[in-house]
Amino acid sequence: MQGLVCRSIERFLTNSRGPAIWSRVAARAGMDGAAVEAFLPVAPDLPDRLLKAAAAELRLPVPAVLEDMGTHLVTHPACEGIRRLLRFGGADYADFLHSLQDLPARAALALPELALPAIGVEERQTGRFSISIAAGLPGFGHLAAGMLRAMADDYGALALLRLKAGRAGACRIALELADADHAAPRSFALATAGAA
Amino acid sequence: MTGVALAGELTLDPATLGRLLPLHLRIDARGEILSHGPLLARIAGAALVGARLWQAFDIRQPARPRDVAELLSRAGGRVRLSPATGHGADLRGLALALPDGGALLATGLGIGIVDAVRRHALTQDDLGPGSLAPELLYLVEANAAVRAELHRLTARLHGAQKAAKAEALTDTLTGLENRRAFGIALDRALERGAGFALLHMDLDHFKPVNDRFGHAAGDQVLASVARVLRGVTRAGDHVARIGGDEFVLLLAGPLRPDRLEGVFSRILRGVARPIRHDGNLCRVTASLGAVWVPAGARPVEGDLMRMADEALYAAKRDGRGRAVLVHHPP
Repeated sequence: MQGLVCRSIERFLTNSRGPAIWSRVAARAGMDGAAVEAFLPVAPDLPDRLLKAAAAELRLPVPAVLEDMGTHLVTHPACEGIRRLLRFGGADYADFLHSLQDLPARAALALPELALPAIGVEERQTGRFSISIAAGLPGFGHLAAGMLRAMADDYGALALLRLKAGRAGACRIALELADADHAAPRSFALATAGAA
Repeated sequence: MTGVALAGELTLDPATLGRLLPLHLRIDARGEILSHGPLLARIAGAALVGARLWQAFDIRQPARPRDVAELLSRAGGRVRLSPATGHGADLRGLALALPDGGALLATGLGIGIVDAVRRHALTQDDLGPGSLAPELLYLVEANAAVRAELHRLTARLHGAQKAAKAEALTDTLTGLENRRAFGIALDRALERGAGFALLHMDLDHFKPVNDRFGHAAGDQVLASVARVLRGVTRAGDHVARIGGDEFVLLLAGPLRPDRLEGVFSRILRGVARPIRHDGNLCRVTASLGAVWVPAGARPVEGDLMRMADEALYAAKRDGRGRAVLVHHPP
C-alpha cells in the first residue's frame, strides 16, 4: 500500500513539475535512487518523508501539496482513468457526491491493500453537504478536498468547500453546491479503457 | 408522478416499466412487440414496436420456439436472444407469462455490458437502478491500470536481472570476462571437442609500474593490454582477466595451429608498446604459455591448466617477453 502511495507522489511530481524536481524530492527524503515500485515493499514512513520533502522543495505547506495532488489526480491527462472512475459515480455533481460512500469499496475491488477510510455523505439541505472521512489515512482529507474541487469543475458545477481536520486523518468537509450548471461539463463516456 | 397504481395488484405504465427494466420487451399472444425498454431500441438498432419478435430477434434459447406458448414453457422461462440486425449484443433473461396470453421478457446484457457501453455511449442513467455495471466498469479500468504498473515492474526487474547476470561475468576494470565466465567458456570448448588453444599470460615488470607511477598508471596499463588482446581475438574466442596482471585466452574460433605463432607475436608486440600516463612512459612486456588442443583430444581441465602454467613458467625462465607453445597429445 505504501508503495502505491509513493508511486502516486512520484507521478504527481514528475507529471506536474518535471522529473528534476522529483529527483530532488527523492534525494531530500533520503531515498536510494529515484525509482518507486507500486507493488514492492517500501519503508512505512516513506510516504510521510516524501510529502515533507515535497513541501520543502515546493515551498508549500503539506496540506497544500496534498490538495494539489488531489486536483492533479482529476485533471492531468495521465490520470484520465481516475477521472473516469470518479465520474462513474454520478450523472451530475450531487449524484457524484452521494456516490463517494461507495468509493472505498470500489477502490478495494482492484486494490484491497489501499484500504481507503470510510466516507459518509449527508445532504443536510438541498445543495448543502457534509462529507465525513474516517481516521486511518492522514492527509486523505486534503487530497479529497483537491479532488472534490476539481470534480466540481469537471461537472461544470460551482462548489464551495471548507475542511475541518480532526485526529489521525479524520476530517469533515462542508460543501455548498452553489450552482449545478455553472459551466459546461467536460465530456465523458463510461468505459474507454482498453478501447484503443 | 411515477405512473404506478397500487391496488391488490401492481399496475405499471410502460414508461415506468421502462425505467425499472431498460431492456425489457412486451409481446402479445401472437408475438408482436407492444412495448419495450428505452435501452433496447438503442441496442437493437431498429424500430421494434409492431414488429414480430421472431423477425426482430434471433432466439438462441429455447431452441426454435414455434410460438409464444413454447417460448414460455421451455427451459424454465430462460431466454437468450440477439437482434436480427446482427450487430447488437446478446441479451439474456426471463420470459414471464402475462394474463393476455402474451409475455414479458425481462433481459440484461450480462458481460456484454462492457462492449455495449462503449459502442452505444451509454451513461449511468441508461442502465437502470441497482445495475452493477458501474462497479464492473470500475473494475475493468482499475484492472488495466494495475496491469500496466505490473508490466512496468516486470520489465524493470527483467532488465535488472540481465544487467546483474552480465556484471557477474565481467571484469569491471577492463570489461573483459572474469574467471567465472571463462570457466564456462572452457567447459563448453572441452565438451565440443573441436581444436582450440588455451593461453595463460602474465605481465612482466607490472609491479614496478604500480610502485613508481601509482595505481592509476597500473590501471591504464591493464586497460591498454585488454585492448590489445581484444584486437587479436575474433568471434568465438574468449579473453579474461583472472588476477592482478594475469590473463587467459581461449582461441576457439577456426584456427590452424601454425597460425598461432602469428597471434603470439601480435600480442607480444602490442603489449610491449610503451603506454603514456600523466607524462610518464610505462613499459611492460608479456610472458605467454600456450597449449594447443587438437580436435577430439578430450583433455582433463586440470591437466590443461597445468600444461599452460608450465609453459608460462618456461617463458619466464627463458627470459620473459616471449611465448612458449606446447601441444596436447591427440
